[in-house]
Amino acid sequence: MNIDLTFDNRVNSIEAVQKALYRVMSNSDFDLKIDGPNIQVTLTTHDSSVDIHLLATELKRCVNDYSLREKIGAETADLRNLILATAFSRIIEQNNQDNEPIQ
Amino acid sequence: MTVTKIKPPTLKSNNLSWLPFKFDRLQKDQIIISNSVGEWLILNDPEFDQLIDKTFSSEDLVRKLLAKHFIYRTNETTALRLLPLKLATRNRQLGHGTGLHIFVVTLRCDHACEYCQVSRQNSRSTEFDMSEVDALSALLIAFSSPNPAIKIEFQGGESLLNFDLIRFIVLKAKELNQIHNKNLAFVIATNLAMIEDHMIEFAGEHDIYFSTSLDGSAALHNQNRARPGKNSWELTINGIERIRTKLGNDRVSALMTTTAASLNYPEQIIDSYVEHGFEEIFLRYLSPYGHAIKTGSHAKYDNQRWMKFYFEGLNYIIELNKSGVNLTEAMASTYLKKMLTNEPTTFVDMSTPTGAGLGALVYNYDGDVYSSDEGRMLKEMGDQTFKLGSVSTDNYRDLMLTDVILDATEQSFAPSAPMCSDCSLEPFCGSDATVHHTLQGDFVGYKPDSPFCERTMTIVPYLMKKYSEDEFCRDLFTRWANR
Repeated sequence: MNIDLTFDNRVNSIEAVQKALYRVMSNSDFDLKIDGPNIQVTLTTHDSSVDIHLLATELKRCVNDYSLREKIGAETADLRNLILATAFSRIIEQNNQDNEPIQ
Repeated sequence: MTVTKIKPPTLKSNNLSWLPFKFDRLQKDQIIISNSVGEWLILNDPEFDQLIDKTFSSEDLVRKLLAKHFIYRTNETTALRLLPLKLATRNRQLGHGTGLHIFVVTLRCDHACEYCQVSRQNSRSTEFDMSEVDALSALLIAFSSPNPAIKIEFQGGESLLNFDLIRFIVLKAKELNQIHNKNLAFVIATNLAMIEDHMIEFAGEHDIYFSTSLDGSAALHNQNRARPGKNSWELTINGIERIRTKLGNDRVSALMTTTAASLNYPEQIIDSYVEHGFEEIFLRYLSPYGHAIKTGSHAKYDNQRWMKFYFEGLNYIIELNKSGVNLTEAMASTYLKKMLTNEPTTFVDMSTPTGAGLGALVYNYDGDVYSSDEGRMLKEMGDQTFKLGSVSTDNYRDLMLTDVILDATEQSFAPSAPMCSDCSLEPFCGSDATVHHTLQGDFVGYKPDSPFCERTMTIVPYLMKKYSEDEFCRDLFTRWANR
């Protein structure tokens, strides 16, 4: 059984769609095409226990969540990099003080 | 009469900004948010909407989000100074080097357990014993690790079948430690069937701990752990009592292995631990290695069936604690430590990047070195992926710079792994490169089908909800996290 979905790449990025597909499609199959501003997804399942409409709903919700994660990630990227860089430089500095040299 | 709907005042948000955080929808109206230092909250939909819009109608929510570093006031720098400190503390073990050094002193064993993961050999075939030369070379590697704390664990087969080598290694290690001055600890993993008084006395003299196997009741244990005489359980219990009498209660711990035969008896298994004075039980899943694969034990039940067993057991343990029994579940404790403290985990399977090599090295009976106990189990199944080298030709640096360590380390760093990088439960999870290699063919694994991932994604939200909704569990889990 198939179902076609279209996402507008001005609203949801291809990365958000791909991440959502990775997460929800473990028991099914999909085709992904880009046509201008449209990201076209065809979901396919041969498993009669899978409700493809529920799967489509789950995928759309998941794409929206990944788009929101992208927004949060973009807005906090500089802080995240600052926090990681400061933390890991501190770990290296501390280890250089505490540890014996590796032989 | 006209009713005027009073809109709650909106807090000014023009100086509140997001700090990095992740989120996942738990169920309707419940969203988990977390950050890299392990802070977490469960929000309802309106609260989550306020966070996303940065427009708040609840001062209490603002206070909670500020306290847990999900938002910060842009005119203050406290959060930006605290977060790197907390993150550094949480990951401080990364540069320490290998702390756990496992010596497989023999593959011989007197048992023939159905689920054996190490492919034991007949107990008279001494060709499967480690030599003193290899043991000494392995010790030199272990002491080359920069880690200031070294734990030496003796494993088998049945390790006590080569007790002379254990004695040799302990004495040599203490001799070497006069130069290196490390915090040195010893553990003997044993079924206790062969324990003799002089072994217990030696353990007492040298602060050696014992770790044994106890699968539950006598019937279940003896069914799982076959040996001549069908008396494994009786010998184990006898050994536990002798160690406790001579050395004290804390000197012996026990691990249980869950088999298909165990799945219907979580309460009876737990009762047997309480009855024999243990204050911790680890409701373990069966690892996909060794005889567990050959005999089909691993395929006999799936992850979901194990989780049903686990939750029945966990809830029973919580009820026992409510009635005054002091008993900790070890896997929950490992997760809770990540959820409620800044302490790094010492559990190799739950480390990220992988604990293989970075957390543990295994010196096999034949002198070959593996990145984990599971790695040497795979070798017995014909897969040498995790063989790093040999004690006779390689030093610590050689072993740690092998491709398998570098690749597994890079690919198993959960914050950058597919799906994990966006997962709100990642700060409480780990990444087991060996199990993903075994089950799915690469170090990263395909997370939607990973039993490792499924366990975390089921158990951690359950612990979060219990912690948030049940005052007794909040106190209990805080104690378990800080053990």
